[in-house]
Amino acid sequence: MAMAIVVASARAGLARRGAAGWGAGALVLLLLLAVPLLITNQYHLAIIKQLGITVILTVSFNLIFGYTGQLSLAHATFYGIGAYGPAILITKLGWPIWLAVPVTLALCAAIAVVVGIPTLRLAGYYLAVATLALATLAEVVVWQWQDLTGGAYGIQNIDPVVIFGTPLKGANYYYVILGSVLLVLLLQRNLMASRIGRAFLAIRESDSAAAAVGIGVAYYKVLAFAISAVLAATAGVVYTFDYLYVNPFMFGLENTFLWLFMVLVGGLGSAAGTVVGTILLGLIPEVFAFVGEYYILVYGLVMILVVLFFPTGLIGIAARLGALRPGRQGASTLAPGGELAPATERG
Amino acid sequence: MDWETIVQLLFASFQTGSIYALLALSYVVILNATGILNFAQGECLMLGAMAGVALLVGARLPYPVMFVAAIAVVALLSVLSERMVVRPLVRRGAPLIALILVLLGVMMVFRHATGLILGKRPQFAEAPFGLEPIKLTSSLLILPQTIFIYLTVALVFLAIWFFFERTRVGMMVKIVGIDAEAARLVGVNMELVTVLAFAAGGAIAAIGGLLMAPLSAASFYMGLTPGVKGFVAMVIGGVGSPVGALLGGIVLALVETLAASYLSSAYADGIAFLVLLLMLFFRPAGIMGSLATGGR
Repeated sequence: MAMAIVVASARAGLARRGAAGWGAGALVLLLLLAVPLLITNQYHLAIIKQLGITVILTVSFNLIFGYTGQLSLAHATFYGIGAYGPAILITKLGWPIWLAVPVTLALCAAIAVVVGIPTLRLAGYYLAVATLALATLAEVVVWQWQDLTGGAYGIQNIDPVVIFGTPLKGANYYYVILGSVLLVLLLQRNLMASRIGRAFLAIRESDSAAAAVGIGVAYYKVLAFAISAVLAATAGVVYTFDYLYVNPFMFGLENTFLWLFMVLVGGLGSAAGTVVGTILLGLIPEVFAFVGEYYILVYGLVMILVVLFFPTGLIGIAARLGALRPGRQGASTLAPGGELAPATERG
Repeated sequence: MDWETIVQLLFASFQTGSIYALLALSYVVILNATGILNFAQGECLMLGAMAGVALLVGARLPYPVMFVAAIAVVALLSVLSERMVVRPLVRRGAPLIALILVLLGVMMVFRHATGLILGKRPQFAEAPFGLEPIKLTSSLLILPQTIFIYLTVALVFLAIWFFFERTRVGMMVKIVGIDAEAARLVGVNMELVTVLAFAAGGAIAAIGGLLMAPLSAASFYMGLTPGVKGFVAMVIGGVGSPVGALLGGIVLALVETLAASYLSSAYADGIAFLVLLLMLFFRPAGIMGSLATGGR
């Protein structure tokens, strides 16, 4: 538990340039690498592994929603496809893993492009409802098309990944997850530091202003959507080879709401905030235990409260308290007057 | 397929289509007056159905009283959600995304608070005219409820038309829909218009729920699918057009029925997504819309 807080604050501290930041980062990395040695309880390790997968999901959600300002409600769909794709291709069609995974990811990118092109050239709620409809369709298909998906039973007995004769399971697989998380974080950081990332942020602030400076708004929106879809699918792939079993509940809308919630609470438009929100909410399910299956009610209420009173999330609160230099953590997605958001929030 | 089966399918399609049309209309009314797409409309349908069941079965109110009371309750909830949650954001000039999020939150709250308070068990409302099918010919049946649905929906659309075209208040709302700034400048009461729009939207959706309740069980999770389909119907018909709402609802239901008979009824729910995508690809303005009025 203390480690989680260290990780969170150290990741946030990476925003600070200078030796202190890098030193903290190296320490965090060492700690992360040592986790399977420090934590021997398999149940706890499984929770941490799941947390890693969730971080990939929330970071990719932050990419499309926090940075580009487009609300997609089909995140669980891409996650589910990423999980089911290799499962189906490998167990039912006998494909090798190095073919099944890229094909699945390409499929998700294709779906994102096909859905994105007509919807992203229209107002914000079109994507929201279209992805909602897509999520509904996907759920129907995965539950009903039993021959393909195994219906309620899902797909079981997937073979684990084997490297040099050793199957990657349990503690070994932790490193696969850690590697994936770090890769995704690195990718996201580089992306956002590039021209593409700046285009995303510009689009978030104002479609018309972005277009006025020559940014191909539709192109970048679809790009953001496709990238986030592929990353969500990656999380699904990582999940499949960890649990070796996929079930239709992965496609549920509640999952999407959960990730939305984590990103919102942590700080929309801030990668560090997203990670903090994910870890925090991922490690405290007990808080919601007493409401039972109506936890979504709590989400809804807190979501309303956050949007009304804390639009910048936890990271925004921390920034205001002087704990962080604002830097790229400019969570201005929900700040009033999109076009008028202060420029100091960025860069 | 003999003509009687076809007619039977048409009856069913028009029935379902009418409900979609009502939901689409509820979106249209709020969208035109405020520029906001109210995600919680599907839940208003659900609340109408649940309130109806609660008042009919629990409080044993006579049907007409229950009908009016349920509509009033939902309209009130709709206005409350606008006042407490939407208004502060709009006043602050928050971006559209914040409104979408907050309405999503309202949707979740309505849905799960209802589940918490009224329970998870689906319940049927009593049909006001009984469930005995009427025989039109030897093999052509129609339920009294179906006729009731046709008539009520037609009445609602007529009432809306009358409201917008023949009453002063209605024209005020219409003007806001055409140009909000201009309306404000000529002294239209914007607050009143917004309240009316949300109340009307909630009421219309609630009527849809009340009409559905005797036929398909009322449960706290019933609102999402009609909510999505109502939106698709609106897009088919032309965003912002009441006539389009009616057309769109019927077209969507017809397509679903076709899909159900040729593919499988299990996938019928998913066809709405494909229809939406096709519409957005080829004619985002919808049947009635021109790109000038649609695509807000």
